[in-house]
Parts: sequence; structure tokens; C-alpha cells
Amino acid sequence: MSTLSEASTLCTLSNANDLIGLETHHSEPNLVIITRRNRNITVLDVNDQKPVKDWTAKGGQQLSCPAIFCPATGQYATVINEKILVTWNQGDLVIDKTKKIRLGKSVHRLVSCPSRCHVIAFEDATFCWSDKPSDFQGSPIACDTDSVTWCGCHCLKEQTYLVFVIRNTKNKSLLKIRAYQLGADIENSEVLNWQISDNLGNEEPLDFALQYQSSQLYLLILWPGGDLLRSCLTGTEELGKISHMSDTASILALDDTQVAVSGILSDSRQAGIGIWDVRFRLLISWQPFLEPVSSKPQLYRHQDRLFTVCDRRLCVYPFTLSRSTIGAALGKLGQTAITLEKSQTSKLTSLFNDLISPAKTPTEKKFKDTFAKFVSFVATHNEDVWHHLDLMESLVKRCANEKKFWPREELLDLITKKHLTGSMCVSLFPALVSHRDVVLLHRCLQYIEDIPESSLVQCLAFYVSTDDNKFSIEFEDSVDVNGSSSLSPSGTLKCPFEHDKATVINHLLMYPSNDIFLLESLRTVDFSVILDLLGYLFYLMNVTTSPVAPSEKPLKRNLPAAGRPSLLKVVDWASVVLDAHLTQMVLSTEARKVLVELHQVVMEQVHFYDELVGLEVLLAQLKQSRTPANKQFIGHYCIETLHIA
Amino acid sequence: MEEFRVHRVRFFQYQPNAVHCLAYDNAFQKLALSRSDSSVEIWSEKDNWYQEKIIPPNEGGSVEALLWSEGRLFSAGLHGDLQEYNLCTLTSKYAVPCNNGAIWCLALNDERSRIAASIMGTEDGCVVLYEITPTGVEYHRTLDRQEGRILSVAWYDPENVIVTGGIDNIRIWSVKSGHAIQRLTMGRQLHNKETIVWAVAVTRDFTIVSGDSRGMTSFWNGRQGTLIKAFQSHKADVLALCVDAAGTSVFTSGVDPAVVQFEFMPVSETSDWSIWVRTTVHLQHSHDVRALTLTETSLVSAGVDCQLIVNELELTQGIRMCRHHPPIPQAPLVHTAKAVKMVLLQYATGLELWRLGSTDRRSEKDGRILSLSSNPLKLLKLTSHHDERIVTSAISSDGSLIAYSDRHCLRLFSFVVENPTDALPTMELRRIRMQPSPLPARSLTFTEDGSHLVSLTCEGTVQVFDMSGEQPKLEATLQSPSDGGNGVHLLAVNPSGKYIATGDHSNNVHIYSLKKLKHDCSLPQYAFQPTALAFHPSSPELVVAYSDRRIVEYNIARREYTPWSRQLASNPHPQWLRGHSRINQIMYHPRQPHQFFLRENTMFWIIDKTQPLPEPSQKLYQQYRSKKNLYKKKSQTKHAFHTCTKYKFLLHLDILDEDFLLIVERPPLAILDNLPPVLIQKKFGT
Repeated sequence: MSTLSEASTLCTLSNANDLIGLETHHSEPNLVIITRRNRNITVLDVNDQKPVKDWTAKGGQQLSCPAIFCPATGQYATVINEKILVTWNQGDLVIDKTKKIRLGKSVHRLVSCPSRCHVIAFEDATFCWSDKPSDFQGSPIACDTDSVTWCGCHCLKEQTYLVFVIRNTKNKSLLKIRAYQLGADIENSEVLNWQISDNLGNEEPLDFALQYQSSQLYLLILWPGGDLLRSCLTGTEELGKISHMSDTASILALDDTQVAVSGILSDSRQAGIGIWDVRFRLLISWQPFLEPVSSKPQLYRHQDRLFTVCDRRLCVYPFTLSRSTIGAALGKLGQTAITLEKSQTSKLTSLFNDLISPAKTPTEKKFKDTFAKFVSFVATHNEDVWHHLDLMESLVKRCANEKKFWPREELLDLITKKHLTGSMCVSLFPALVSHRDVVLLHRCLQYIEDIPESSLVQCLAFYVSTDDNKFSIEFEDSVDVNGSSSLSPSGTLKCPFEHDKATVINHLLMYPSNDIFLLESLRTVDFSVILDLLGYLFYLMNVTTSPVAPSEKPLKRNLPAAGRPSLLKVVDWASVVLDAHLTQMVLSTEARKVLVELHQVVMEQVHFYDELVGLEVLLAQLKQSRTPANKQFIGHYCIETLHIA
Repeated sequence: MEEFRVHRVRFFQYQPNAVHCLAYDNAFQKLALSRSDSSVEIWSEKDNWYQEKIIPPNEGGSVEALLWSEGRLFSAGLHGDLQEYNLCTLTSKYAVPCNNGAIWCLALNDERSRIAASIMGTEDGCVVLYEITPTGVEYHRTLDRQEGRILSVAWYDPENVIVTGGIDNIRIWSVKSGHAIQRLTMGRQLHNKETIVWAVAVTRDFTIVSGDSRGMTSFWNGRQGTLIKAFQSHKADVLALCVDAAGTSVFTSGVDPAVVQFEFMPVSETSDWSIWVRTTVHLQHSHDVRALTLTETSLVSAGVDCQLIVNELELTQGIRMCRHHPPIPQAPLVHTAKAVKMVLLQYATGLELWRLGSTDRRSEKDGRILSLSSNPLKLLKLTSHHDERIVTSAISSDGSLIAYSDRHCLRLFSFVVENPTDALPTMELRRIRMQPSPLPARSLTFTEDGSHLVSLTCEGTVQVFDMSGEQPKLEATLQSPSDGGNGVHLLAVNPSGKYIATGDHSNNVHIYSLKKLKHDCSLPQYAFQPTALAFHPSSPELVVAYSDRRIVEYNIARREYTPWSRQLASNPHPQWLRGHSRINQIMYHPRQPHQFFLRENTMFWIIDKTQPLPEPSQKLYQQYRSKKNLYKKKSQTKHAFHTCTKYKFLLHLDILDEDFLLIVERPPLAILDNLPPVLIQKKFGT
């Protein structure tokens, strides 16, 4: 599997936009040529990060394109003030005193051609060889509205492809691509022209890259949002969507299936650089940026290293490439972006898009209708839609964020049919809490598995802080209260909550959870809520004697919530609650009473268990004395059996 | 593999005796050991510490000191005689009286020509010198008498002096003049308690080492008579002391059974100044250590706990090898009359005949004790004539003939039980007089049918008696084809009565034809002594175990080793050869002759010839079962060697009818229980 290693800094720059470009030194394997806006050209050794050569342009001159080295002539070349080509030798100390050629047009970039001298690409999509600077080749852009947005080259041994991407400023949905296939001699250049027009929208493409696969040149186009298009002379195909793209990104093809993408976000929303597998549509390897990147993080490649600018540092990411296989891709599917197949279920897509777009379904009625249609369509055509986490998440978000109406029925439908998963509760629960929907929350606890602890705590805090009468009103019709009769106040001790509220809270306390995450979430809960909760836990500890409640069967949570949580569970919760708010417990005077009471009941329990230990020892002794003696008395003589293995 | 019902006999109250002294002969690698009953044992170091011979004790004899000189063994004791043993007939050759009282200690000079005997006396002691001549010992002279007893003596040849240890002092005597030339005074621990020097030794550089009743080991400069260093090495009397040949290492022990080593070591690696330091402490004996001696490679210690402990001096693979030789004699003490299920137990001065119990129960479970339908019964107790030590005994298969031999003669009895199954049977024992009186025997056996008695005489010949007539008749006396000067110790008779096999200390195994009454053939001579012999129940095959634990099977008719024996010899199992103890008994299973049984002191083996031999990598048995291995399943691969380590110490093993085995064991704890109390030491928490 391809891997991307941790970044290191190659050199520091004066500011984030300092770098004009980085070019490979074609004759020395470890050298790169760095051209900076402060008129400085440096030849750096990548291995030991040491500058090998250094030239500076004269003041008043502006370096306008990255310097290159032409192995055929053994000369360096760059362009000053957009129109003046400068060439110099390795031994030259100053570049001013070398040969300068004034070119008629603005230069877009210089391309080093390994077989011959370099190629000069102009802003009007024409080019010329540097040994014949006046012999412009190719047809210039016809109208003023067109402009070259990108120019790239792909060098092979015999051939060099030079590609211009031309965009019309008025008709933004049209991309013209002009590719020149440059042979060893000038006459052999071939022009390939094609256009991409469909489905481009008004957005600007983020970046382009050239990919050479089975003797065919492709242009990769990255759109905002992560859509990747691959285009060639014969047509255009979609390569899926790169998930978690940041707003600015750039792309570089590494081989026929893998591309390097800078500006890709990790799960924790941190931007970085990654290797994306186009075939299996997944992120193979990812490394963060060393510094936050504000501008477009342009990518450069030199052999097995990727370069990008992070703030004021030029960073190097060494990488290894290996063929992407399905075996290596297994287990990484979580990062895959799923899109609906357009051709099959375009209706479904449009329905779904309507459903999640507040603009298309602004009213409750419209939403309800669309939802009903969607559900019936899915039921007849494609049940799998329910399993697409991304889709469901966006649906839940839409429901949760809807301010105008509250789609309660639809959410209840989704919850009871188990279409939602625990991770969606993060966005769902705040909405439920804000709508004070006790029933839906209870249903969530009943039907959804693996609810995150933060959501549980949020729900618990809501339960505890909500008035008792809310529960009794809203529960009359929906919650089964069978089997909770054991919660009736025992003796003199009175339950701090009403019957229904206690039932619901018990159900929540019995929900499987992890102490560590609970602890983190509980810290955020209001202290008064914590005190109430502690009071209730104290009550539970008092009335519960059995360590394991007979009805605690976590796998069957959809059964009516009968009984109380086990004593162990109650003790766990009490410990976590105390732990989370230890400081406040110490300081607060209100907590004092409940703490003393709690200590009392815990002490009683400890005494009880001490008694149990004594009983256990006694019973063990009794058992031992009852078992027949193993040792046989041999005496002076006996006849015994002997088995020899 | 096999399921047995075992007669587990523990009523044989065999009690070994405490060891009093040790002497090692470097030239022949033999160790002489005397016990409290004044018997002397000869052990062979090169034969894997094989107990070769037991010299039966004289009546009223005592052995307080033993000495080897050129392969001749001398002893002296409280009776005041210096005697030499005949190591072939195992009797005393002669005794030379010292005429001065009890002899307590013997020492030999470097030329091995003179013996110094320390005379304890009652009020005064002296040193008597003897000259060793080729035929005997001659009195040479007596040194000056001194006040007080002399308890230990040592020669220092380079200066021709003798060092003696007595009460409160050590004296140095000039052999030339006979006078004491120096007196080293010992301190006292308590004012009114005298210090007894139990042991002295002299190193090459005339350092005198002494061990005394204070528990101190002291090093003296012999020339100046000054104390170099003294160690409170023991909590009670130091009784034994030995110095190695180089004189740089000293071992002491005594009533406090720790064996402490002192070494003469340079103070630092580069320094040439050496001092005596206490180095190793061995805590292996449970009771007083009475004697210590050094062989070329190891330290031998023995004492009241009756066992012999051999510690290697050099480390092998980082481990100091240690061997415990339990006080179980190699010669058989138990004989069985299989047909009538009787056991003859041989005590020191008597015989007991027991009838075994019986059961008709069976059990599928291992180790289950079965209820008895009849109890064992002591039928007979026979005390030897004049309480003479019984050397060997035998009982015929039907129990009608009992024979035993002491040092002087062989006695034969006929024994008749009227109603053997009754609870109280009536019995009749009658001595059968033999004319002419036969030679005393070293080993006796009856043929399977009881028609012949075969006796291995003390002279190394085989005598065959015909028992079929009214009166036993000496049929033949068979001479050993090899020089029997070293003594013959093993005897076996073919069940069909065709052959007799003998094994001697010169590593020979001879086979005689009982029909022709002459020597038939001999096995190829091996480098080690045979320790056990057995005939195949039906075919003319003989299995022999040697003291290095090699086992050979020999076909007498073909005069060659059997193919299985060759196969065994070609890939001996390393774990088998590493075993410490010797094979005391070997026998074929009478009904499944492809199996034979081997008995050692602490375990027995069943070797099945039909099963493949174990690979060298396979473990024969788990010597120490760690907790980890306890629950591990035993390896399923089957091999020919099967073992049982349940019984300790095994005195006898026999195969009876049906699935019955007879095992006579003497548990180590039972032996320990009868020993005198040990030095009481304060231990933590007591």
C-alpha cells in the first residue's frame, strides 16, 4: 500500500506567497530549483537540505516564472518581467550579465524538455522552442474573453505533452483544452483539441493535473466539493468525489490510479495532504500540514517526494507508491464517499435532494409529502438507501436544523424503523432536547444502539432538569410503564422523581456506556442537575439490594423498561458523577447533605458485603468438611491398583 | 499401557546403619565405608558408584578408622586391633594388636609404607607406628606417651613429623626422636569445658587444619605453631575434615551437618598474598556428618543419616552435580515364593517369612486401595545362629525350602505348611544337614522346580546341589573361566533349569550349562560391572544391566546379541544414560516376555520390546513437574520405556500370577523416623 511519511521542512520562505515554483533539476537526481518572488533562485539538495547554488536577479526585475534547467544545453533559464528570457550557465555568478532574449508575448511558463532545448509556453496558448524564439507554434486564443487558466506538461522520453486549459470568462460552463504532442523535432508537433462543457456549473475548477495511462493522456480536473473529472480526447468521465475536501486544494497525479491531494481534511477536520485512490475511491494515506495553510497549497513532485508550502515553510513529504489492490483497500471503506448512482436512481436523488434542501421543501406539508414519497419509493426500489450513513446523516441534520416546523412523525418513523445509528444522535439529540421531546428521546434510547456518551449525558441532564409533570403528561399514551411498580417508595424514603420520570431515567442509566467518556461529558453538566441526579442515585442505592437486576438484559432494550438498574450500575454512575464534579462537591455547601447520606448508605452496603464474605468463608469450610477425604491410608500393607501409562 | 494390582508391602522394617568412616583409594577408585555395626562396604566410583561388596561385621567388632594402601584395606577400632581385609572372601585376613588400648584414628605416610595409629587410651594416649610389609603389618615403634587422649592424627612427611589432636591441644611429634616438639594450645569456649580436637590435617606447606568441639575450624602455622585464622564455622562439634591434594581447599563438617568449604585464595586478582576464606556451604545432610573424603573429582560425605552424598567439585554446565545414594543395599534382601505367595525378608540377623494378603476386587481407577479378603500373615521368624550376620538367603518357588548363608556356613531348612489358607496354619521347620558342609555362599538361588540349589560361594565358584533326593547332594563345583579374584556377585538360573549365569566384579558374565555342569559361554566383556541378570522365561536369552545403565540382551544359543539389543545400543537415549541410580533388579514378564521390568532405588521401568524406542528428543519421563506442566496433557507418542515413580525406596519387585505385582518399599521417612535426634537449630519462626 502506498504510504505518505511525516513532513519535514526543506527551507523557510519569507511569506506564504513567496514561492513561484519548484522544478526538478533534470541532470542531478537530488537537486531541485526553487524560484522565489524575492528574485532569488536556489538549487537545493533535497537529501541534506543544503543550497548548492544561488542566484539573485537585479533589483527592479521581477521573476515571473519558475527557473528550469535544460539538460540538453546545460543551461538554466527563467523569465524576467514576463517577457525577457534569461539563460545562464552553471558557473555564472550573476544572471544579469548573461544572454537575454526579449520575447514578443507574456510567458506562462517554461517547460524543460529532456530530449531537446526547453519550450516556452505563452499566455495566448502558443509556444516556441527556445532555440527558435520567434517561431511561435500553435494557434493563439481567438477572443479576448478566453484566457489560459492552467498550463501543464508531461514529459516522456521521446515526447512531451504540453496542455493548455482555456476558460471563457463569459461562458463558464465551457473548458477548452489544447494539447500539443511535441516530438523530437519541431515539425512533429501534433495538436489535440477538445472541450468539456456539460455539468460544470459556475464554479471555478480548483486544480488540474495530467495523468498518463496506457499511452493516453488524461486531464484530471478537481472541482470544489471534491468532484474529480477525468477528461481526454475521447470523452470525459467522473472519477467520483474526494470526501472531506477543504475549500482550497490542489492535485497531482502520482500514477494511473493514485493522486496526491493537498487540502484534504482528516476526521478531526485538520487539513493535510493525502494520497487518494481513484479506482477504489478512498484515502490511502494522510499526513497533516505542518502549519495552517491559508492560500492554495500548490503541490510539486520530485521523485518520491511531494512538496508543498505550509505558511512560511516549504515542506517535504516522502512517499512510497505501490499498486493499489482491493486487499489493501479493505477496511478503509469508512472513508469512502458514497454517491448515488446517477443513471439508476436519478429520481431517488432528486427526491432526496428535495428532502434535504430547505429551499425545495420549505413547509411542513411539502416536507411530509416528499418524505412519504421518498419512503414509498425506497421501499419499492432501493432499500439500501437506508444504510447509506452519509445520506441518513444529512437527512437527520435537515430535520434537526429545521426551524420552521418540527418533523416529529418522520423522525419517529426513522427511529422506530432503526434507520438511525448512534453517531447521528450527536446532531439529533440537541434538537430533541430543544424541542423538549421526551418521548422521542426515550424512543432513541430504546431503538438506537451505541449512542455516544456525550449524547447520553445531554439526554440525562435534560431528563433531570425537566419537571415531573412533563413526563406524566407526555407519557400517558406512549410509554409502557409495566413492571415499574417496584419503584414505589420504600419505607420512609421518598423517591425524588415521579414514577414516570424515574422509569425513563432508570432506562437511561441501564444503557451500556463507558466510564471514561461519561466522565468527560459529565463535567459539562450543570451542577444543580448533578446534585439532583446524585440524590436520585442515593435513593436507588437505598432501595436496591441485589447487585444484578434480573431484568437487565441490554440486548433486549426494546422491551418495556422494567425494574431498576443493578446496584453495580448505580454505583458506577455515582462514582463517575462524583469523580466528574469532585471540586465542586468539596466546595459546595448544598452537596454536603447528599454526600453524607450517600456515605451512610455506602457504608451500610460495605458492612453487608463484609457479612457476606464471612458467610462465604463459613460455607466454604462447611463444603470442605463435607467432601470425603482424598488421602488414603496405606499402612503397612495394602493391595492397590496401579496404571502405568 | 498396563494395569496392575499391587501388593504394596511396607512391613519390611529394614533399617540401615550410620556411617562412621570413609576412605578413598585413588589408585583403584574404590571407596571404603564403615557403618556403626562395624560392617564395611566397598563402593566403586568408576562403576557409577556401585556398591560392590559388603564385608559382614565381626562379632563385637568395631571400625573407627579405615585406610587404603596399595589396594589393601586396613581398619582399626575400639578393640585395639589393626586388621586387614581379604577383599575376595570378604573376611578379616589378620589382626595385629596394638597392646595400648583403643585405636581411634589411622594415618598413612606419603610413601604408603607406615601407618600411624593414634591410641586413645583411658588417661593417656600415644601414637603407634606400624610398618606395612607385603604379607602383613609389623609393629614399628611407639612414640612418647602423653597426658590425655589422642583423637586425631596426621603425617607431615617433608619434615618427618606427626601431628596429633587431643584434649585442648595439638602436638607435633618428631618421628625420628619420638618426642613431641611443639604443642599448640586450643582455647576454650567455657572455662570448665575442654576442647576436643576431633580432626586434624596438614597441607603441603605445613599448615595444620583442625576441627574441634567448639565448632571451630582453625588454621595453624606448623613451623611456628601460631594460629593463622580460626572460623566459627559450625554450631557444634566439627567431626570430619579433609584437605584436597593441592592443599588449597578444606572441607569440614560435623554435628552441625553443614559441609563448609574453605579456600586459600589471593586477596585480589593480582596479589600473591593468599588467605583462607570460607566459601561454599552445602546443606544436604539431615543428621551429623561423621566422615568426609575427597576423590579426584568429588567430595563424598556421609554420617548418621546413613546416605552417601557425592558432590562434584567442578561445575558441569554451570550446575554442581550432586548425587544422593540412599542406604539401600544393591544385593537383594527380599525373595519370593511365587507359587504360594510368600515373601522372605532378610534382616541383619534373621529371616521373616510372610504370607501375602489377597483380594478378589478390581477397580478401574488408578491408586484405589482394594479391600482385602485375607490379611498378610507372618508365618515364620528365623534368627541366625549366634546372631551372625546373614549374607544371603533364598526360598524355593513352592516355599518348601529356605536357605541362608552367613560368614561361616550355609544352612538349609525344609518348611511345611499344613493348611496354608487358614488364618492360623500349622507349620513345621526342619533343618537339613548337608554333608560335607558346603562353603559359605555369596548368593543363593533355587531352580524354578526346586530340584536344584545353586550357590555362589565366597571363593567365586558355583556349587550346584541336587535337592531331589532325601539328602541334598553336591553335584558339581564350577570354576569360573576367568580369574575370580575380584569376586562374583550376581547369580541367575534359567526358569527351565538349563543355564546358570554369573556376573563378577571383573565385568564378566559367564553362562554355565546346568545339564552338562560346565561352562557354556561368556558374554563379551564390557567396561562396566553387571548389576542385574535375568533369563527369558522360555527362549535361551539373557538380559544384563550394567552399572552405566546399558542393557544388553544376549541369545545364548546363537552366541550373539539379539537384534533388539543392537538397536538399543545403536541409539541409546541420553536421558536414560544420564540417570544416577543403578539397576538393582531386572526381570522378564513371565507371561508377556516381550516386556521386562527394571528396578532402581526410587522407581521402576517397564520396557516393551514391541514398541518403538524413544527418539533422543523425547522425554522418557518428566523429572520435575512444574506447575505449568501439571495441567499439560502428556505427549501421546508411545515409546518402549514406561515408568512408575510412585514407590520409594524400592527394595523388591516381582510379578505374581494374574495381574498382581509385588512391591516391597521402605519409605524414606520411615528410615528417618528411626534415626537419632538431630542438632536442634533455631529456625526462623519456630
